[in-house]
Amino acid sequence: MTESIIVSEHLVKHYDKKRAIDDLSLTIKKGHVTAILGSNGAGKSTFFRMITGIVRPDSGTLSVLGENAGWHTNAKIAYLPDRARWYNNYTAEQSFDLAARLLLGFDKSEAIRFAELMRLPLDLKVDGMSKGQEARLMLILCIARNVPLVVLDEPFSGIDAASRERIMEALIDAISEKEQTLLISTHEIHEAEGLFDDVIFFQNGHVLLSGEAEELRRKYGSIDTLSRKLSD
Amino acid sequence: MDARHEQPLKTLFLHELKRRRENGRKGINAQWRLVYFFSFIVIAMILTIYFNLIYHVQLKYIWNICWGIPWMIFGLSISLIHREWRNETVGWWLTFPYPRSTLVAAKFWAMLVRGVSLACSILLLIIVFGAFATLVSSTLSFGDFLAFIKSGLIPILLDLAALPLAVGAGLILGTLGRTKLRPAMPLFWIIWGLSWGLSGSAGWFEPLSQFKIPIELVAAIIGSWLLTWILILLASWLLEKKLDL
Amino acid sequence: MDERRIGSLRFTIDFSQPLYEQILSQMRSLIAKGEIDVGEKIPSVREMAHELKINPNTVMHAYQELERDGLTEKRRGQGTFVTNSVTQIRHFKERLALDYTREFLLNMRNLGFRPDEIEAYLEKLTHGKGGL
Repeated sequence: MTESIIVSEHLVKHYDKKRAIDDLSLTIKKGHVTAILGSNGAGKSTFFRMITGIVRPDSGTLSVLGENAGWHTNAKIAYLPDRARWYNNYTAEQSFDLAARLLLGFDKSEAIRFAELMRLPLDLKVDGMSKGQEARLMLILCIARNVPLVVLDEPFSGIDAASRERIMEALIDAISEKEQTLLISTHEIHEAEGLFDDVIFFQNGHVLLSGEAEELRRKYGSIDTLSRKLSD
Repeated sequence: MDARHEQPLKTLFLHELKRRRENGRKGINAQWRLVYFFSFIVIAMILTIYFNLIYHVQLKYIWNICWGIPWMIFGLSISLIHREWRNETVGWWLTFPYPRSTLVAAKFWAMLVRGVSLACSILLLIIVFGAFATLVSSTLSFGDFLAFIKSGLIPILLDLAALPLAVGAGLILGTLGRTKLRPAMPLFWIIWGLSWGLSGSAGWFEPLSQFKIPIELVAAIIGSWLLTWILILLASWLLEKKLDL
Repeated sequence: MDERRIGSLRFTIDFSQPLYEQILSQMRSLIAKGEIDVGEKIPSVREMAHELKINPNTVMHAYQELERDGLTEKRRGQGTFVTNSVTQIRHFKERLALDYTREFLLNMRNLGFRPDEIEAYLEKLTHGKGGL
């Protein structure tokens, strides 16, 4: 029996009249790689922000690592925000130094190892980086942390194929080296689906379909095809 | 908790200070510094000649520049909050695992340091200008120069005293704009404007020219610092409970 | 369907099927056919996961199954190797052959064929025209 790391029950979040999260109930299993999939506006990012406590639900309950989500639980969560940029006057190495002082469980030597693997120059300022390089840096800031939960909102969006490949490799290493729970949302399903243990499809702020990736493949074929079918 | 995480305020403060330079580096390079330097010389010359010709306009009015500093810092403090959104770094900033008051306080101290250094450089610039004017002028003596410096001490000290409130007010207004209490912003402006009007009409500033500091003014300054502290707590509370993301 | 090479080995990953079974059956057949030699090192979990772009835990589970099959053994600090014992591999092949044959026979019997008829079909496919 696998433990749960996130449990949400009947979560609701309105923006004006629109329901971004609509009676969302789900559990995320500890130690698994869980993909949150669905079209834009399905509520994925809002849900991730709730996990990190920066968006508060209107009603319902959300338990993260056994606590109510808030700034204090973020000590145990590595979070890659959606459409995020990093502070542009830092070099990669300065960013690692800042992270080591600010983000709990950040391991600078591990970060440098990831930077080598992903071919990210340490002395390059974010200002001078391509979008792909900046995305690699931000991913390292998340995966070079020894924390129980890693939440990545669209780590592949808007970056070149080479960077995507490097990010996949780094994620694979992170999965095999640590006993972390990984929560990931992406539109690049074909490239990433080999990583998924569990898959949860969101639609209009609630769960449309969920299950183990292997089980879903047996029933419906690839996750990529299933996702296409569901969004039709 | 790990020993190296014991000083998040210091780390965040240095982080905010470091980012301060990001605009400067892009905007002003060596060439532009030269341009500014020469403009200063030219303006100083023109002003000196002007003061020489029309003697009854006194040099000490130049100190009025100082009244602009708190307003400038107020504006910069607002944008210090908005910048997290504009630069799309807000997701990182808000998920730093520290009390919201630490996040706000780091910005407060960084902006205060910026304000103090701005006031100091303006002070220095004006002193240089005064010395320059004294040197080229045929009518101004060294005694006049000393009197000129002396007349600037009060505005500079008042500047420094007003900075905390300017920063605090900027931070609360910037934060307010990102929360569900956004409709309260006009209310802020009304209170802000009224209190400026009242403090101006209270006549605290008149005796200052004789170097007497009225007790009411001292009380008002201390009161403004207390108010600043409350504003910072309020901004922290807003970030924790009322964010509109 | 994606074809990937790891060294001289060729794998095909089809995301419309469970991945664990694909890795297990492809490794089994590579060892049974001798494409990975007796006593030879098999690709590390990391290498497999990187090249096939799949979860390392999936590879690890497949490798654990190979070990239970008696086809591979872990050597501390060195990785996983195909067993040195040729008999071990033969036993595995025999067991698998028996399984497959049993399944085949069961299917044919369920269709009502007698042993001599089944034999005729086998003869036809292995030697006759259009055979394998």
